[in-house]
Amino acid sequence: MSGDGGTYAPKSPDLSSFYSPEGPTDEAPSTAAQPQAAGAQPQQLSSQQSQSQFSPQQRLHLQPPATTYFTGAPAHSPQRFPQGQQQQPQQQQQQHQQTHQQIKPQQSPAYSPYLSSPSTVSQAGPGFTSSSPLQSQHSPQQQQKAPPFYVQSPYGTQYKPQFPVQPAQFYGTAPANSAPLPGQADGVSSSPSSFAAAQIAGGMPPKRGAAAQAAPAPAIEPSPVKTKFPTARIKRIMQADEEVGKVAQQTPIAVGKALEMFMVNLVTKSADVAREKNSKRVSAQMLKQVVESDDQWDFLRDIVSRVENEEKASAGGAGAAAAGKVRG
Amino acid sequence: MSDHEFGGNDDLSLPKATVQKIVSEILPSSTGIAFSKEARDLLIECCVEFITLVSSEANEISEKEAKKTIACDHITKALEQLGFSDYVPAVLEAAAEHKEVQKGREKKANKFEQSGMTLEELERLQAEQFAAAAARHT
Repeated sequence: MSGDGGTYAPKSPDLSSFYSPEGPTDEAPSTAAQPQAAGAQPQQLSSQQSQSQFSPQQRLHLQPPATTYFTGAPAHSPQRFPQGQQQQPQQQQQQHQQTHQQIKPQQSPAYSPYLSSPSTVSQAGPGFTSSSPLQSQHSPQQQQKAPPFYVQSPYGTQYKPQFPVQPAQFYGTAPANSAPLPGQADGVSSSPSSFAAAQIAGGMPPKRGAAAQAAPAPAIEPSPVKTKFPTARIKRIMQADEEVGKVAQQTPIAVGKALEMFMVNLVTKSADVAREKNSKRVSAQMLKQVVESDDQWDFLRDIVSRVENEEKASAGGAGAAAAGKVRG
Repeated sequence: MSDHEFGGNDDLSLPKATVQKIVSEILPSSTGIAFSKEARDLLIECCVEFITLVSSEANEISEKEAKKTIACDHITKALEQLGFSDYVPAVLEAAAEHKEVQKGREKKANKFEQSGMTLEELERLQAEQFAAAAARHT
């Protein structure tokens, strides 16, 4: 488990503070099997449980039985480790979510900050954590158990308008009012699509994605390109690399979009070069010039040099001729 | 289809017509600038190289995370590492859009089931149609 924490910690530093308290919580049942914990200090163990595990369990009784497996699983499962691995990213995501929610009250007037959110989260995250380590440690578990709106809606209601209260306190008092209010659920879930996308990208089940459509568009200028690359082809090209194994369904779409932007970049730049040279045709040499003008295109240098040589050898093609004129 | 006909080499390239179309979308005829055939072919090679680069970088990232499947997340991280971080927002948007479309499809499928009739009615209808079909064949 600590290994996992190490893996994830560097990527999102704010979570490291979540994990260290999280570790014992999760492992408390399993350490019971070890002589040291079980024999020497059963008292301590139980008190630990009462602190860190009880409230979720209590809530568990209020919840539909379907959720029971969660508390059961970590303790008894024989393959604890792989399971832990799988759960971790999920929890990580959820903690992210949660941080978002926690921040919301502070920044409520405008949602737009969320578009650039990742940095905001990591800044604000630790502050909250340190103020309420215990609560924040529970909450991801709560979220896993509760149906999405159960947790969400109270946030919308109580938070934004009224209290400048610590989210932690809210958590303590929350369970009572579970009534989902449609309006507020909306307020919460209107977190912009870029955030939703981040969740999706992480393989999160789209918990609240359903309501996340109404996003004020981030500063993405509309692409002139309407034609999409065939995703099957992209996938095949990706998998031509033997190292590349399975590819998620969305991945070729993401790559296709990136490719599109890559092309826009390359094509407009080479068109600029053509304009400078008073040419109406973009030649392979102009493209080469663009590639060599910027380190960003480093990886294309081999290709462009090869192509030019080929063209010199064959000396055919209007493009090569035009380019020769320009150069000469 | 045409992929199978030509087989092999063409497989791992991008369709020329599509690339040409995209190029002319980027450079509409009003700009008065066109891509030469050689430039387009070179562009295609660059595109393939770009895909390969991104996917191998993403593959490494996914391996580091002990994941067997390359997800969107890995692509965006790869783009960032390769100096294409300005592509990331649009990529995320496209992925989210796709997700939305997919969801719409699922919903449609569900609606198709639900909107019709109750299960009993559907069963009755099915029985009727079976009977009709049987009658037609005898």
